[in-house]
Amino acid sequence: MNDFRKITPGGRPFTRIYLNVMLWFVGRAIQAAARQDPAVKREFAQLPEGFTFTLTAAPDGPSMVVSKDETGRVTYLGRRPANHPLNVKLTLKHMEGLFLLFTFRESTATATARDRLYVEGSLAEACAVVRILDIVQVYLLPKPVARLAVKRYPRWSFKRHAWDRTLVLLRTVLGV
Amino acid sequence: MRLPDYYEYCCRVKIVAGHEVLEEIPALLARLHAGRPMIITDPGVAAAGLLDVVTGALKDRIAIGAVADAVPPDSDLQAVSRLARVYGEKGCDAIIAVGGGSVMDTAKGVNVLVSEGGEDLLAFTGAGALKKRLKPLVAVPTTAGTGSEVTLVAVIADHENNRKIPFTSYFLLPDVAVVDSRMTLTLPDSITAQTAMDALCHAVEAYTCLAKNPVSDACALEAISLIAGNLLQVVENPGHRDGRLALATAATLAGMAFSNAMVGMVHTLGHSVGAVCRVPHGTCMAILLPYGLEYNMHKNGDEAGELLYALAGEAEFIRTPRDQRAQQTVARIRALNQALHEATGARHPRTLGEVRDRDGKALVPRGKLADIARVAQGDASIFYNPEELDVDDLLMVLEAAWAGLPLDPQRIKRG
Amino acid sequence: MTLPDRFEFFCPAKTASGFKALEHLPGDLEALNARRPLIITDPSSTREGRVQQIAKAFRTSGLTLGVYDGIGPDAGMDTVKDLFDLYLDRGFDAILALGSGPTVDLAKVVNIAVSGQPEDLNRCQGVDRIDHPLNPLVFIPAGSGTGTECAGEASLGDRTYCSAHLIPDLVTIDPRMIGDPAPMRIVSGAMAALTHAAEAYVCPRPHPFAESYAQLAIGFVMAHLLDVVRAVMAPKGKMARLADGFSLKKDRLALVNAACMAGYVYANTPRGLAARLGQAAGRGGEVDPALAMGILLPCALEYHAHRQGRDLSRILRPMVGLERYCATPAGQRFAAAMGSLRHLGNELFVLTETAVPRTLEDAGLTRNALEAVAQSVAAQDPDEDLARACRTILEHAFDGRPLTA
Repeated sequence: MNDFRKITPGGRPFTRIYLNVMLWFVGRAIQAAARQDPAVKREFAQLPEGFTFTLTAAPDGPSMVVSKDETGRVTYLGRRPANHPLNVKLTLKHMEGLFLLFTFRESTATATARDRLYVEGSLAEACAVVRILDIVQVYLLPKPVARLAVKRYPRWSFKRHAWDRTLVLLRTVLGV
Repeated sequence: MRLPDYYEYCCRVKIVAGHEVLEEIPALLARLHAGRPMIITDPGVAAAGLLDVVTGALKDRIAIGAVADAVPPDSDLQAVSRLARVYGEKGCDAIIAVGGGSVMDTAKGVNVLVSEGGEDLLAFTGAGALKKRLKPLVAVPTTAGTGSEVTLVAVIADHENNRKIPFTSYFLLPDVAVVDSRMTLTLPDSITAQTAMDALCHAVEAYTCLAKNPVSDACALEAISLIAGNLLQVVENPGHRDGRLALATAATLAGMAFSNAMVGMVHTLGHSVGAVCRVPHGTCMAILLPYGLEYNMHKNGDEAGELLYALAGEAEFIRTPRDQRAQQTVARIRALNQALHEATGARHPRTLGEVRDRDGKALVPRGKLADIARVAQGDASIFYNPEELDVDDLLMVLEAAWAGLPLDPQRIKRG
Repeated sequence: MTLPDRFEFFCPAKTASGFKALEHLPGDLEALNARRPLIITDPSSTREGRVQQIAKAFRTSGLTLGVYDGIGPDAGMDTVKDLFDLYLDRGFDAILALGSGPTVDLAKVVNIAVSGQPEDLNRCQGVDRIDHPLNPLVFIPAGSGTGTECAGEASLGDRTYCSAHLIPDLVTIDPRMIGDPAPMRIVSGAMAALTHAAEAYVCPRPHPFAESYAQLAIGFVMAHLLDVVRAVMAPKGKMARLADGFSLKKDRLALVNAACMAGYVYANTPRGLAARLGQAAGRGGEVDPALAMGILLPCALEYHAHRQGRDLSRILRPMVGLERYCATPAGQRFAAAMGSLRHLGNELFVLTETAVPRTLEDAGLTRNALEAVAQSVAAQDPDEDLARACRTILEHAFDGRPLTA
């Protein structure tokens, strides 16, 4: 059996670091937007107390967890808090899918249409999570990039575009 | 014929269709090493005499282990567990599901329990929860609409917690779909219209929404031309065997298309109208279909225009200038609804405002539209719709569909 | 369309095609309850970097891969025996068959043995003798197959197996796997696909399910084959080749899709005359059966249309698309379709510097050999009409003469 060999494929350390940074950023931005943006506030208000969701890649890719506590406060809980029950889990089928998402080559809608993303938990709540992610992406990304990430770039007031965006970015960095 | 950057297509169900194919079920089961099936169906199917047709076709050829004919319209966890126990007690080794969507979903749930063991279906929710082949499942559709004989989803109600639980796995797919024209021969005209429009809607949305792929496209086009070519004929002449087979085949093809390409806003809204106001699914689909095409036309007008060939035939396709074909497709679907309205003695409603229950009471009061729009925001099919829809957009479409007015293009926000 | 009184269709394969398709493999294997895949392929797959690409796609999956890349042109039952031991000893639970024709056939044969007992290799020969589902088998096309890899067939030496259980569970088509085979192999694969699909599309009993797949195969071959051959053959500078690379990848991806679709059709419909005659013409070894099929196809279709009076004009639609189909008057459609087919054949002849034959005579067959070919097909079905049909089709294909009314 000279022609046989075994391959143990390596990991992707740099991609992993990149994705962890991006997810940290987005997680903190959701937390910030939930305190600043009226639409995100509204979305979270309709979700149940203790609502927790995660975005991750199979089988053990980078992830982020965001939760709303009993007082309605939304917090980014980090990468993978132990034993936190999840209401919604958005999973990319592979890390490459998450990488495509966070290099803005595929939007959530495209990833879904290409069978790269699946949802576990309540679908209605997952829809709310995707709407929140869309708004957060509009805050974080410059318009030409954000247009690729959402189906329809929203028409926001100047105040929301300028003032709220500045505050969301500040809050994201400072974590307040 | 466009090849998308990436697509997946899968339909593992063996399809056997024809005028007298029920008789082949024993042989099909034998190939799956099964010989003692349990038949699962609902009271409506039994009352229509269809169960007798099935048992008549099977008798002498196979030992029927059990017959369960009391599946409720929205089957729940208790019903599934109860049927699974019967299956075990009677020593069955396969399931024959005879019915529409609800029966199919129930049978898929029962199959999980009898194959995996245990009492708790909830243990098998979530992606990848099912790991191996289940017991042989033969699906015999009786509605020519839902396509659930070829879909990998089962929705089971959990009445205790007031929720519906979706189960998704390739292992839920039936092994064989036996599409026999005798099963739909006695459907009343308005149900024929509803279910065929449901199938049409599957095909049209599969062809025009985001997850389309070449195989689903081909199935969708074939389904549309079979429906367009046979529906009115069958409504006017219910005993038309070839027409019935064509509609049943179309429903299966449409099921193959949409279970891979998924569906968009017509289903987003239709599911919600159904959930809030208890309107039959096919009725919602028929009314809302033209609006879905109108709303997305700036994004998928080319695809919508291509449907004109399948819907209206070659002459009309050639006659219509290319930039007007999408509009003409919408007009054709509206005309089909109108024709069905007339052919069924007005039992096929054209607008949401026209939908009535048996006592003639309006089922969709205008005041409920806001509730419907809110519920619609939580329907996952919205992901696959080409254009974004916020709650105001949903309400705008619902208002138009309620009154039966075309959408105002000025009010569609283009992304 | 009036449907026949009874029809069936079965395609248990899942198709995944396009950008980053390989990355879906670990998850798809998981869904088939497999965690230890063994790649079975030929040495070129390692040499040209395909195996390494698969390994790259499996990074972060947590799975390890077994690779056997020693399938040579004369691999036979010895290799099957070795792979049987390897699979069981090392606890593999799925096969990734990477390549085309013979490699995939061998992988399928190994799968019969490892999914049951070694004796099954004898017991299951012939038609429909495999009575249980086999272990997961994934087919990864390398771009030079005919599509029969996707059908329920496998042959090795003088053994043949035919069963729907041999259809792969998953067909993963990734542009990175599509290698750089000789143009002749591309043409030959495409012609086989086109012939199977076209003959299924116009088979006397219309079949809505098989037709859906068949029209895709026809459309993709007609739209992309010439572009592929042109790009591969053109003696261009490096830069121009680079610029062509992207569209070439897309065109070739479409051809591989066509072959797979044709394979699914092949598994569900009876062989047509062009396919059977082409197969028979190739039996001697000097003629490529797939190229012979391509030559025979228009003649066989013309025989059905002009001598048997069947209306086959609808075949123009998948060939040229809806728009041009509608623009062609009904009475000209069949002729236009045959024109497209012959145009394709003639262009290929020129582009490949006469390597792709236009007639059976070009292909190296002698007129005297025709009778034997006709006989071998007609003998399958003792019917005087069939023998006459075979002779007529062969003679016209030999001369390159259209068959008229």
